[in-house]
Amino acid sequence: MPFEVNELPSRNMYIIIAVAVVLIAAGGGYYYLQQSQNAAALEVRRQKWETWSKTLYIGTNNYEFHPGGIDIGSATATMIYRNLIAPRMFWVDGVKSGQYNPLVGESWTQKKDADGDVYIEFKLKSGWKFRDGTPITAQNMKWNWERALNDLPNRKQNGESYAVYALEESWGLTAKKLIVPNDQTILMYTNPNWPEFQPFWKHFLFGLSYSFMFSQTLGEQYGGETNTLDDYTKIGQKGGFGPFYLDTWVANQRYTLLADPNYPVNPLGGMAGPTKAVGLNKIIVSAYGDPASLRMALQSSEIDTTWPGEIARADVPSMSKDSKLKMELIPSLGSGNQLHMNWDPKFAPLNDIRVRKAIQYAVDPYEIVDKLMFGTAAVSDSPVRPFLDFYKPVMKPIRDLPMAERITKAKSLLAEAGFPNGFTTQFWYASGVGTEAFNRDLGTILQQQLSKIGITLELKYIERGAYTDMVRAGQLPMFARGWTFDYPDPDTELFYLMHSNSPDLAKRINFNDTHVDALLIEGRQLYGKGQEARRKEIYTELQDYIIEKGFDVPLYIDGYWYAYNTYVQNYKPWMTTDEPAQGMWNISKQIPTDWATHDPPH
Amino acid sequence: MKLRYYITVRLLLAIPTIALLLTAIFFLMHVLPGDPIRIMYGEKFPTFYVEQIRHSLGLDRPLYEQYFTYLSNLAQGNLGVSLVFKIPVIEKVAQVYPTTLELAITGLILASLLGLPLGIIAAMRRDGVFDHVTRILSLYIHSNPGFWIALLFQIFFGLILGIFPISGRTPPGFELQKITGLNILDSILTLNPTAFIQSIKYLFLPCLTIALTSIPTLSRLSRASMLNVLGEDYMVTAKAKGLPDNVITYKHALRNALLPIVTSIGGTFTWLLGGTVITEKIFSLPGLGSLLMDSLMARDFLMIQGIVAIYAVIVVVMNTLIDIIYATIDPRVKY
Repeated sequence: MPFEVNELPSRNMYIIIAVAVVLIAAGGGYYYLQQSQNAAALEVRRQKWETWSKTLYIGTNNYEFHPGGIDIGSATATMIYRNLIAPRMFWVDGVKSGQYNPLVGESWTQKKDADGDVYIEFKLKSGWKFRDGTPITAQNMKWNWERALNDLPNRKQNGESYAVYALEESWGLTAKKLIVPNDQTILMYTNPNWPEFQPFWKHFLFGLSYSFMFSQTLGEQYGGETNTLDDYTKIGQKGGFGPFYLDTWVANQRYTLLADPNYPVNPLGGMAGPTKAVGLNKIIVSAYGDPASLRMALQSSEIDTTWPGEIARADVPSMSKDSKLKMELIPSLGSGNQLHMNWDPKFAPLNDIRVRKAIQYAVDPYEIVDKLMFGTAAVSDSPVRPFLDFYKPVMKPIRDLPMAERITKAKSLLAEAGFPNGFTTQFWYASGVGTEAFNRDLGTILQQQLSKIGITLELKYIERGAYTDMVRAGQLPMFARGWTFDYPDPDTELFYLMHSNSPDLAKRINFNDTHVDALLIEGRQLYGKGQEARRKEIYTELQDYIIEKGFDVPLYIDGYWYAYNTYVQNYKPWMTTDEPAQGMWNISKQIPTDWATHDPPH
Repeated sequence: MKLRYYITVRLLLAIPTIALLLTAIFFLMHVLPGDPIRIMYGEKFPTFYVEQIRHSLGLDRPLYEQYFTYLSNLAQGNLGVSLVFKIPVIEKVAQVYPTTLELAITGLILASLLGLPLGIIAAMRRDGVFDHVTRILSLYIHSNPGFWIALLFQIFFGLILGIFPISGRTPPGFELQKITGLNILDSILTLNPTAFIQSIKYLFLPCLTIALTSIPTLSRLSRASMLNVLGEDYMVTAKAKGLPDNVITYKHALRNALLPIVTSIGGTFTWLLGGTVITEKIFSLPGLGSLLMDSLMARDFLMIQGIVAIYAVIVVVMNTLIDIIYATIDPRVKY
């Protein structure tokens, strides 16, 4: 029936309209609510991502704190502490090798007093404070340095003991030691018997790579021999003056650092030394029991990065193909171990230069790098590593020859020496967790390579402590040795290894040669005296001489693998030293573009 | 012989056993080649300080003197001070032991809950499909080393599915009032559901790993034990009497079959209490096994000596307890 204009709608029509209105209103309300909820949920998610992007998750295999004294034992924790929490006076520049930038320290000057005694005058900046509020004064520095020296028997790390050895050698026998004339000045008297060789001093003393600085007040309160973990945590929370400080520590699991929002911006930039962190407000370092777990945690984004060098070598080739990861080898980083094959030339027939040269020809480091290191190291062509001054690739002419030609040459040298059918000798290595398998494999490769020229290499191994003693005592004919970089000068590679009066603790081979000794001393004496041309001659001659006389077969230079997810930005390795935690203040994290579709990993 | 007398004798016998073990540990640690101080502090460490540390630890004294000092300290509960952690060994062990204990208890419960029924059902359905499948699976799982199972779990549940953490005991920001040190128990005691769920989440994979490594033994043993009992004359008698199957199974067969299983469970628990080194290490659980491994890596010989001594005591004490429990529950045991 047609609807007439003057006819009122029926009751049913009202009901229909009312229901429709209610439905529309409910639908609208529901839609609005959903939208609001979605918006709220999205905002919650956005905040989660924001928090995630300000937190750096690091995984490490080497995480244990050692709460003895106020020092830390594990490599990771030590680096974190001395670079992020409680740094040093001066800072080795991250790009320019050997350049020391001011931090709390303003300047250093080498001087002589009226008696002719040498001292270094340090000037401190004013206005710097530890987190507990106490000012950083010269007296505080003195306390820290004396602590570093006097507590030596409590140290554990090799690097620490070596650095403290340097302290003792430098001023341990000097009665005056450290003098504090005023709050901003400290005079460090040096041992008159110690050669004035600045790179050594600078590395161990100026930067004090060992001795990170704590508040004396807190250190005396909590830094005793038997301090508890809680005491130690308090020192980490309040005792330092770095861009980060310790927040919490869960034993054997993780430690959390917070960024200091009031930390000053370094006027020289983030690669010159510590500066205020702008991209991060938290760093969480978590423990992983083995490299496989570490890799999985990285690939699942449970962590953003691994501690440099802790990715298993065998994993590097496959991980490099993962587009979500960035893998970077830093071969020139300070602590990269340079491996050499050495021998004691007093053992016959290794006392014959022709035999030694034959071995130089027959050993193929490329095969070692390929098979043993999975391609994760750089072949070394000199006793000095490439980024140091005066480097000369002295082994390159030999190594550029085709292998067949090298074998022929080696055989003819052996024949000349009276060993046309080769001979039998021993290659020794140390047993022990972690390194024994590697050393055995290295020995096996060398055994196979030398068998091509008729040399039979018997592999022998012994417990590490006994091995070291036997090497120093000249009781082993052939062995491998590693050496890490200490300071940016070729002296760091050559003096301690090749000088006949090298200190007992640094001596790794039983090597004595008066010509080498004289050159090494002259090289040191000329440092910083405008005699760079002569120094170049000296160190070039040393490299030529050591290789020409067949005293060394440099094999490869190892490095740190940096592995991190690609969303980690501005992670620039500190190229000039061996301290990976440096530069973490520069890091930021990029929130993914599809963040709205999923929650962050944490 | 009365039970009390038997227990006293067993406990007294444990004392010379422990003393012999500790003596063996001491001399083993001292006859090993190499200078522990030089090894620990590194080659670059000055000789003067090596001597100083050796003197402070008493290592420059005659061996017999060191031995008596060691025994005397042990008698006072003093296992020495860790060279690495610089705290008493016993204190460090107390810090990490709840992790091992929690893992051992939960692992054992899970293994028992899965292993015993599997073995019993397999025995009840001897030579059936279930029996064959169970046996093959047991053999397969038993053939896989724990570290391999752990890695597979990490890959599947952690990396691919992302439903369980790859390792660790607690997540960042985990908050729980410590009462016993056992996270699950503490979260129940403090009525903290968030911590409870997080603890379960983090414990699940390691717990499943060690449970899986124990299940084959328990299931095979319970199957064999059950089959032995089912073949006994009294079972035929029970059937002849017309007793219902479930009464025969659970009242007569199972109770008797459980006796050797109790011993096995005790042995498994002893093994787990010693710290499952590989599982703890792979899942980064800070337990006794991890501590031993880390101490070996760090060459902390006082800690190693202390942990091995604790292991020895645990094994002797647990075996003594098992003997006592066995004597208590099995009326046939003569004492």
